[in-house]
Amino acid sequence: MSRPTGHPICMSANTEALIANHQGLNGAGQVGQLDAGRLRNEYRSPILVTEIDFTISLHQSFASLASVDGTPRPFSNIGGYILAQIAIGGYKMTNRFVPIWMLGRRYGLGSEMNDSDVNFYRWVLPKPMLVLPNTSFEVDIQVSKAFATIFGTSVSLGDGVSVEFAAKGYTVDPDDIDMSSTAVPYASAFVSDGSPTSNLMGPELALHNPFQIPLRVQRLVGRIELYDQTSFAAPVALPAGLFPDVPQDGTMETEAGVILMVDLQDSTGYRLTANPHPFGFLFYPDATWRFERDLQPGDSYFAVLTNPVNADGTTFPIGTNYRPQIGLVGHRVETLQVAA
Amino acid sequence: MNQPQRQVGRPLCLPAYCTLAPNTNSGVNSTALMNPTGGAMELLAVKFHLEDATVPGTIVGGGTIAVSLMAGDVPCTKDFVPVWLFGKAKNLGTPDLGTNPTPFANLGSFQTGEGDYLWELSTPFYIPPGMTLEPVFQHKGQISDSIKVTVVYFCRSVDGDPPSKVTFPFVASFETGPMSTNDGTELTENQVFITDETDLANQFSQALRIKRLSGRIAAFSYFGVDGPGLTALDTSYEWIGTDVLELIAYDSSGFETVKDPTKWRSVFTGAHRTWEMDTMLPANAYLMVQVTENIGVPGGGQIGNRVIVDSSVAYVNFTAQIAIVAEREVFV
Repeated sequence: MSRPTGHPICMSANTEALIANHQGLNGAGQVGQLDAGRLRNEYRSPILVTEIDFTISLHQSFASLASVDGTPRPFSNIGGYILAQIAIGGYKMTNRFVPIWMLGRRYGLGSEMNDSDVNFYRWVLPKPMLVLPNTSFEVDIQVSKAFATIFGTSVSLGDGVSVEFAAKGYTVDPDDIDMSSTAVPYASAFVSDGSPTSNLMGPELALHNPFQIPLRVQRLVGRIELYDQTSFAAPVALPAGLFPDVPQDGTMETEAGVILMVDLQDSTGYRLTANPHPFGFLFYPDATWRFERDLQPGDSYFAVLTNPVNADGTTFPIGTNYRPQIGLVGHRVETLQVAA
Repeated sequence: MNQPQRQVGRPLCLPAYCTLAPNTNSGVNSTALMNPTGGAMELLAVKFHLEDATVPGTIVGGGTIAVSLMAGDVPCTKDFVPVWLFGKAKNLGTPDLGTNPTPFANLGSFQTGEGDYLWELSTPFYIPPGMTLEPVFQHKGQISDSIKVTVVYFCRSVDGDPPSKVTFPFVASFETGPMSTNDGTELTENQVFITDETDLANQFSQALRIKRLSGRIAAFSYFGVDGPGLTALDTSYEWIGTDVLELIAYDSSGFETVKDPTKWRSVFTGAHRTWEMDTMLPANAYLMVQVTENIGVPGGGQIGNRVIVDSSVAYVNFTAQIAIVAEREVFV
């Protein structure tokens, strides 16, 4: 049996005071900075952070939110539109703003959207991260500008959306660990502007190792953001319970996950997929593809996304109604400066 | 000291049943929960299945039934513990079926499955020949229907000499008083509930190894009645855990485990309703938790952080339940 850990710890902060009163689309693009004081290790001992949890809730019951057709609709899964930029002690944990749902694996739709307007996302860190006393998380939350671009005035955030960031871990005895370095997680994501109608290549710097040291990739993450599917028509019907005009995850549950093809290779020419592969299958069933591989400094992954045409030359009628997202999650080892 | 090598035998699935009227207790036929060959066994997991005995198919939440577990004269729970607090939630999508517009709502025939709660023990629990972990169930009266309880022990038979030490499970829980999202006419607003020193405590003279904290919200009555409800779920109004309830926690040494007020669902992770951990609670130490209900502005159409326009959701009565799930090694 493994050794027990030290004291469990949960540090949290939320955006309630910062992203509030979003009437209509006023909040789209707005950045909320979390209270770093609440996210500082104020304990006398170092701590090992093992996971980060995000809780997103709308301040207004979905039942009161109007939608395209005037019928109230739930925000089934809004994690693709709420972005986080995270650093700790000056070390970047994300490549600028990354959709929150790209950080962890999917725990099943039910777990992410139980009440339709409350979403949960859990990022179990690739390796526990050492946080020295007086070191703080620096977290910014942003409502994606794409929200306004895509939805116009047809879907609103109601009276606001709040996001809580909670870092969990445990204390460690300084004599029991190497205090000179730590694994620091890193997440980066490529988010397409819209549905690819022809081959679409992810930008070089999205799935990239920007550091001067190797980045140990733990997994790739893939999600398909579905939206504005009012043009859906038979035989491309949505499963019962999925609505045509709200943000949601269609990675596996809709035809988009089957039809959209993804081809992955790295900057050395190594092909991760031997052939273009259905997106939803590649990231089945939890929106992740796990592997362990070092990405050398400056190296990248490239994702080529293809929306194939039918035999008669028409594109499949998923049209322009989804945004594929591909991300990487890993860690690198950083040197720590321990105060004398 | 190394444990003697034992031969792991065949799997055993041992079910027992009872039906409880509201506010009653009942045991089960404990013989059904013993190794039928008369030998020793190891308990690996316990499954609690709840069914509405009055209206079959009605959803029943695991906060409505609590259980007390005794191994001989050794308590494995502190009094009664709601059955959904023992393990990690496995499939939270299912309980919502038929009540909310969730994906896969077309699979309505699965809805009775939501009454299944699985507790996988961190360490197999050795049970000597002729003994079992004796359960007594309690209907907490949160719903007005009788409930049929099925408990299933998943075990494996073991041969050889008994071990020199046994890892006993131990679970202790705390339940707040009733709260309501009613905005001010019936129940107290902005209540604060604090555990006492005996609720989430190590009552033994040796350290407890805590494997998880679990937290559930039993919403037992909707639409303005502060009596029993029809169901008692923790998923129908998820925002109670995000917009209404916050908590802080500290232990008896003064260590702040949750130092700032934190949303209930951030502590008890939405996907599992638990906080998995592996930490020691010294002998006679305890964990203190303060739960705050933020009901918002009375009469202002607001509950906590949430603006309520749909008045039909403004009347939800609920309690919050917390447990420590732990184990300890005992030389026998």
